[in-house]
Amino acid sequence: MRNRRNRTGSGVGTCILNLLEDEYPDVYRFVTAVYPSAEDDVITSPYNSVLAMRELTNHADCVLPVENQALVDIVNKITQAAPSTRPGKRVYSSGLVDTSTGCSSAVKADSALTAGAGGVSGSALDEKPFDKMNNLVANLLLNMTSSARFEGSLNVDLNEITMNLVPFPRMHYLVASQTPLYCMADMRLPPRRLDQMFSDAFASDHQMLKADPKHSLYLACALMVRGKVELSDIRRNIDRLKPNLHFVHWNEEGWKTGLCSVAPVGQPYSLLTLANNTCVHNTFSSVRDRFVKLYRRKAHLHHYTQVDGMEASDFSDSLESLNMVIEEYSRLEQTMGRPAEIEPRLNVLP
Amino acid sequence: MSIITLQLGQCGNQVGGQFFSTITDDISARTTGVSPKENKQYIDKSLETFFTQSEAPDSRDGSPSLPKARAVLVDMETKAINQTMLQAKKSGKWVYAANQGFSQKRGSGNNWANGFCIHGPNSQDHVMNLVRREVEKCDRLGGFMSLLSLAGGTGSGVGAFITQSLRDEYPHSFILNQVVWPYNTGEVIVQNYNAILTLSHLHDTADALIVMENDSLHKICAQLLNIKNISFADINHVIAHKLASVLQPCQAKEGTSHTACDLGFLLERLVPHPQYKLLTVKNIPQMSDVAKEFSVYQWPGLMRNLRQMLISDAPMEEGINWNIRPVAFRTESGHNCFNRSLSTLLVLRGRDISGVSTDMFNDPAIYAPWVSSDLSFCVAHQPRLFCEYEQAAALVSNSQASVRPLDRILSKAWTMFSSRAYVHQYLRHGLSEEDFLDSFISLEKVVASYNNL
Repeated sequence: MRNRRNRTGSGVGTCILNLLEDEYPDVYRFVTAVYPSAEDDVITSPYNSVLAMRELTNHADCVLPVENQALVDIVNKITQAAPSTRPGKRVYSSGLVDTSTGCSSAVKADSALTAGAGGVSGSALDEKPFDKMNNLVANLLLNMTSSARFEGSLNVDLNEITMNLVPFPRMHYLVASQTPLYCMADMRLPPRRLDQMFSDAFASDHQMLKADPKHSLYLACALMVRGKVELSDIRRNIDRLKPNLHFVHWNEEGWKTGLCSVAPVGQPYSLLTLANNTCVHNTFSSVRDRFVKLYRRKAHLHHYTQVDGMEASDFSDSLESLNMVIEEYSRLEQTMGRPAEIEPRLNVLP
Repeated sequence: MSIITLQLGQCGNQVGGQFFSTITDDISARTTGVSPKENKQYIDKSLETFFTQSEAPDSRDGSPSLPKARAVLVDMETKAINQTMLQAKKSGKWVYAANQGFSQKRGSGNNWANGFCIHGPNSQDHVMNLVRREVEKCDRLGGFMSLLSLAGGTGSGVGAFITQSLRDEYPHSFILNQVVWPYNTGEVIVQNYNAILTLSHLHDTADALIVMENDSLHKICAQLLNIKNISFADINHVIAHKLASVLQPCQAKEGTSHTACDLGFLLERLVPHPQYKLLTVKNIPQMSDVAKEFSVYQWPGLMRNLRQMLISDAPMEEGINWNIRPVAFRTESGHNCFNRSLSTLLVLRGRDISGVSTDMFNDPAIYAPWVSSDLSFCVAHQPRLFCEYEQAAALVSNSQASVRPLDRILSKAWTMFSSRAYVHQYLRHGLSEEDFLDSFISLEKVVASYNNL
């Protein structure tokens, strides 16, 4: 797991990724990477991000990009949906401190809370939401590994996720979306109907990334279901949702299903969707644009090149790598809506 | 003649567990329709085929020990095997022999290449040892039955490898593979690749493949058995029922003599040519246990329905298309207008079977013209009731029906292969693009052969 705008997470993290690949080449490497949002206070975050991305593209098997802004919005949604807090509620202290900026990002996140809140009580204003945001990401990992930890009628291990969702080596960036939404073991929200849960998972406000997969092209999609759900329920919902989603022509039925019998604590069932969708190229493009803005002026470069082992060519190589990933996703997206060219089957004599 | 069952992968293990449960349920049924002596003969034969029984009582409490299934359980991760063995113990009627399971920790990741090229060779020695242990317990080995699904990585990849090892080590034994075809829409995205790679290998090494499609089984559960929320357990129940209805003891009548309808006989009659190895099983009637008490059927009606199910390739007795007839002419593209068969075997179980007329199955019009009429059709009888059905018939056929799902999977796999999607995942484990192409070619040949029947 790493935070990619912060120097420790992205730098040391990707170095460790390389080491893992050398030491254990056969073990799949999953990375949850926190991408910086547009108004980010770490000035050099675009450099850190793009440099780290090259490593992720080349050395990770699967990356789950997560945007802080998306997490904040989800936390807001939960807080607004929950009934009003009891008096005397504890204020959570934050476990995560941003090393490069100290508290300023905490203030920013607070302001996001107050902006949307309306009727939130005074004590909630002092809470730092990092714990809740981290909780969301922790839930993502729990749901993803549930099949490996519990029994079920259709187990999905981590290596199966990579196998089914990564059609080409560099295109391994997955958009994650979870329902129901809850954090910090807050069970006050009533359970949703099953079909509603499936619909919610495909709504953009449940995603961990600010993107619009519904209007982009799906390369593959995994549904990891936990709890009291039957196979026929899943199939019914796939049939229901499919007409509204665009799948690439060689993978029209690109659904991977996983069924784990044990639901998360306090919930009757839950759903995690992992989608390999071309919409990620938009996120990457904005990261790239911010990088280019700085790089063109060679701003702050000397801080990096002063370090032993770091060269100017690393920057251009990383940019090149990012461009290639964006290009691959865009190229596929452009085939959306166009009639597919089907290669004729082999003609053999009996 | 004993049959050793190999349960491969999660699906194979779950189906296997259900299969042995169905056999023990059938054996312990109260309504048998025959004398106690005949019933005992049936039970003994069935136990001999599928279970080992030790004379010595159970070491722990002195009670007679339970029959142990003649089975080898293989999976690349532990959960499915553990669950299956536990469920067997819970039934109180049978168990798996101790230490007949082989598992690893990592799983195959739905990757056929991982199963075939990596896990297969690694587990070969262990698994063949387990097989040998079971073989040594048999007085007479009838053959092997492997249960696997085509969609995943272990059942398909390791399954294909182990079948090859079985063929190498037991070149004269009969090998029957029961393969489960996944649903059309997604269980596994790369299921089409896994399927064609497995089928092309199995078609070479196995003697016959029994094809069961999840979509058809689902329909049977929904419409005939009226199950509201269909789970894999329900589907496995139908598979087990189909297999048991064919493999439980019965006698084939050839002229005036009777032969036990064992695995060898089945395969000899149903697979006259090595290019045609795909079999399907149709059962009639099929209903929930509750409905069984209130249903009354007549044999002539059942036979008529079954024949039309064969000709129109219907999975069950509801919604049969009666307009399809066995006619000689073909369409412009050279295809038949009905489901032509190479050979069929009909198993009748229940009351009043001696008087049943089966001539309608002996009609040369429904068979390929080059098969001689005395070899194309065979009947087997068993007066002892099967699973308390008053009348039950199973039709095993080697016909064009098997090719329909194969054709569909080939199309999808080829479309995906044209864009080389996911291929790198297979190449990294030792497969090459040549291997893919070889599989496509050999299966296209099978499809072409069946289409030209």
